[in-house]
Amino acid sequence: MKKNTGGYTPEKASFREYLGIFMGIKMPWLFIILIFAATIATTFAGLFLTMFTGDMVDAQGNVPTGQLVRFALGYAVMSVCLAGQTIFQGIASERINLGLRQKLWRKIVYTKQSCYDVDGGETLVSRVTTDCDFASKLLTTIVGFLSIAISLATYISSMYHLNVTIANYTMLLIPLSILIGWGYAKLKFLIAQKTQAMLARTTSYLAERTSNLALVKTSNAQELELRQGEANFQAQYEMQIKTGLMSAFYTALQTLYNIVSILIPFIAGAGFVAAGKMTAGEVVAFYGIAGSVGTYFTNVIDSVGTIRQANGALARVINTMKLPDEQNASGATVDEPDRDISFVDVDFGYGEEPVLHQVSCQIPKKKVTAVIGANGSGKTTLFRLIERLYDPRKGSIRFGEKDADSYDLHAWRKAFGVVAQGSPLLEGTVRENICYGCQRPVSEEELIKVARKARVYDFVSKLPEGFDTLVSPGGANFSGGQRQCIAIARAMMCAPDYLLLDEATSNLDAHSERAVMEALEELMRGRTTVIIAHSLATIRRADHVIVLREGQVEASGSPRQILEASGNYLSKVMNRKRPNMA
Amino acid sequence: MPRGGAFLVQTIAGRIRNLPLIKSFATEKKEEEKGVAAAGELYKANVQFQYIQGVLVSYLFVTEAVGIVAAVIWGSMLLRNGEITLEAWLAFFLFVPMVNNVLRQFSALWTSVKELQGRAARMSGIMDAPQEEQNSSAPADIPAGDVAFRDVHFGYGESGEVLSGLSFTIPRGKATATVGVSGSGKTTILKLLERLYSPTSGSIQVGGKEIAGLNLHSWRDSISYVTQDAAVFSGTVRECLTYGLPRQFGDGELMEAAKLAGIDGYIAQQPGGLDAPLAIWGSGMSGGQRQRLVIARELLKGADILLLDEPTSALDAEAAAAVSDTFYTRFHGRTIVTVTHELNFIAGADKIIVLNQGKVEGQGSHEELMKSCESYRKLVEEQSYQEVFA
Repeated sequence: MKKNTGGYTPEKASFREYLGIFMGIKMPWLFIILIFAATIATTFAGLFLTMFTGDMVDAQGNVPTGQLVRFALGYAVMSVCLAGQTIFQGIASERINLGLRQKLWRKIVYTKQSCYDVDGGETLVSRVTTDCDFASKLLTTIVGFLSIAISLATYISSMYHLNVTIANYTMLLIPLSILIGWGYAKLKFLIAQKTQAMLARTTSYLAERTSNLALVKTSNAQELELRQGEANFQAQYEMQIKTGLMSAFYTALQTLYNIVSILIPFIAGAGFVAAGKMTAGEVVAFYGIAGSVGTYFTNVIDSVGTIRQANGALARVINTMKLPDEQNASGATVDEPDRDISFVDVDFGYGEEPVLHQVSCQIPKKKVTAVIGANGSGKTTLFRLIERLYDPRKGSIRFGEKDADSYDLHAWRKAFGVVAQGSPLLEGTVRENICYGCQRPVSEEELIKVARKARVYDFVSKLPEGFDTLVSPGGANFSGGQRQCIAIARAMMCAPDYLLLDEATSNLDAHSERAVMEALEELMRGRTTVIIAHSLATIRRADHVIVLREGQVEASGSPRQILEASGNYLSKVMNRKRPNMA
Repeated sequence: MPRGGAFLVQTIAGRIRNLPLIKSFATEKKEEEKGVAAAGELYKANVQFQYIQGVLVSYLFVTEAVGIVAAVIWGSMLLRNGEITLEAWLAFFLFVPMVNNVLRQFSALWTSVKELQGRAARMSGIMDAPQEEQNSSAPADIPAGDVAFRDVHFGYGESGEVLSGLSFTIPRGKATATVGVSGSGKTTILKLLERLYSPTSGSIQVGGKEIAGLNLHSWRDSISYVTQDAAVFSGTVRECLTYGLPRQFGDGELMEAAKLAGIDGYIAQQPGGLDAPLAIWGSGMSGGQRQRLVIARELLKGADILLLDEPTSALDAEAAAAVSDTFYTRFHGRTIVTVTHELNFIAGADKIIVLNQGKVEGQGSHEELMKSCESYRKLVEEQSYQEVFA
């Protein structure tokens, strides 16, 4: 289950798929229309003001008050439109981002487990958090294009209206600006990708190290980690210097371009004014309009850059959306009386290598089945297949006569209570953890009763906040044994029909182990239980035993049969007491 | 105040990490709603921000507009009176936006400063945190002798005392096993020995000297700490085996240690052998394999003192017995402190210390404790009960 961390491979998606993103999201159409309207209003107001300025220059300052008032009003309108545009754009963007984020998250929760083993969790998080932000950028950029198109058309026609020759000169400059902008956008994109990949590496390095600073200390590896951290930061620094230099260069070119674009209308215009073909005011107006045209073209180029960036991020989102869902739709509920669960010729592997090979075995109903075998023999995998987290490559898992697949996935999983290796606890209070997955409300008495049985009550009642104590991320504020007890309490609370216990008591000392086993025995009575066992006691207590070896069933039968037949393998694999402690 | 991006990241990351658990319990709907709610919180926070942005933008524009309008109106009046020339008026008109540009940059800088202040405050919290007492001026030699706890009290914070007046001796060069119920403070003892924490009162000494006064770097060099979860960092196998070690090791030495730990087969199978990469969080290996890798690392370190925290909890009996044999034979003569509940380890120890609720209930050999210590007897009886053959 190794990840491929080499190099950055950009993902792609088709145009239809990009549009498909917005399907199912509540689009803030009103806001979008308002943004569009505000942008157009701003354009026309701007044009009006520019022309007006020109007229004022020509009037040599003799402007009637009424017109001045109109001038001031024009600016007022523009500020309102601008403010509105910014706010509407902001809110519309956030709405779209929210919509996509929620859509993606809903999808992720229901996707097949196997998809995440390859990718790993960290990249998925950034899909939901940062990649989704690009949805709004894409949309607002597209809307922006429309309004820019209209604005450009208006302004350019005004330019030509004023003076054809100067307009031609100005338009000649435009391709130059586009070229510069385009080149810069391309370079920026390439560097951005590299920078992002590097940032991800650094973040992952830091996340791993900070999660276990104790190890760094006890290994006296501080110097080593300092050096490695610095190497990471140095690389980041150099990347960002490059970006900065590029940016500076671009700004220099842009400034140069701006100066030239200012000079043209005034120098050429001066000639026309001298020849009496243009008024001074018209030159001033021209200058204003040309400036706006230049700005609009720059916006177009920036937008293209944004679209490219958005594409990359959204392609990742789209590909995540395409991952296969878990089969859920059809399916009966598991309301029938218990049946035997059986594996029929099951082959399975997480990747290339097979983990289970031609596994056929029975898990008899209402009995305790112990599964034993060395590390890596496939025991945990067996559980995952029973839970239908994964599907067998070949063969099938049956519930009685029917395929397990024919049952509704949720109902199936709800019927199993699981105590998994490592006992993961989720954040929340102890109470929330114990009641997790339990649909019905739980009374305090019931909680205490279950907590006592699972030996949780003893240590929880001593805590200042009792059951309302918060479990820190990863459950670090409880010892391994305590975490296991809470997980067992959790399984007990749901009182499921079937139990899957995976090395349930390996972290406990003998005293607690015995107590918990007793409680579990009560729970197991009359229920179908599969338990991965590590001690002979558990085997003796079981009704049926399955021995796994390197992904195959070595033997299965009653505990007596197994102890007699597989004694050799067993004594290697089980805990045995030391001879001098008879 | 709605919670923003960091909360969303934490919520999503927590759930993605535990997806198998969520699926097992079929609580997808509930977790789905939690993620959706977190996204909603971010939305609210961002929208608030956008409003502020909008107001800011229009404020900037309004000041510019007012400037221009004033320049025009006032300027045209002055122009009419002949007090300024047309060129001057025009120049003024062109200057106003430039001045506003600079003002805009100022306000952008101001926003940055505010944002950075927040971040700087968080950083200074970290920077101000107390540093470990390095004692770098203390000599590099570690005194040889027994390790003694004298009336040690300790608690992690508000959760109350974990060790309440602990006094016992760990004899030099011998194997000591610490037993007791979960949460009785066994692991805490090891953390105090590593000086990851300091006792609130009482003292810990080695060879009569306070460990708190020893050179920290040298002290930790003289201890091997094998934890319950066999933590390793991602990197190559070689880097993992030599992590933090002061000298270079040849491949032969590395593989020999691997053989003793029982991990040489695994390494040989990896493409690249010693240079094979280890995945992040050690996820490419089983718990047992990680343990063996860690054991190989500590074998290479060759420290005088070994602290073992349930080192074989993830191993099956064959491997567990082999590993405990390795420790007891290969490290014979060094000071070993094992926190365990497995009889294998207890049986091989020279001295056993029984902990109960942060206090020492008994210490001595197996026979002595069977006679004198009630909870020890119970522990052994129950463990044996579980392992008796039919």
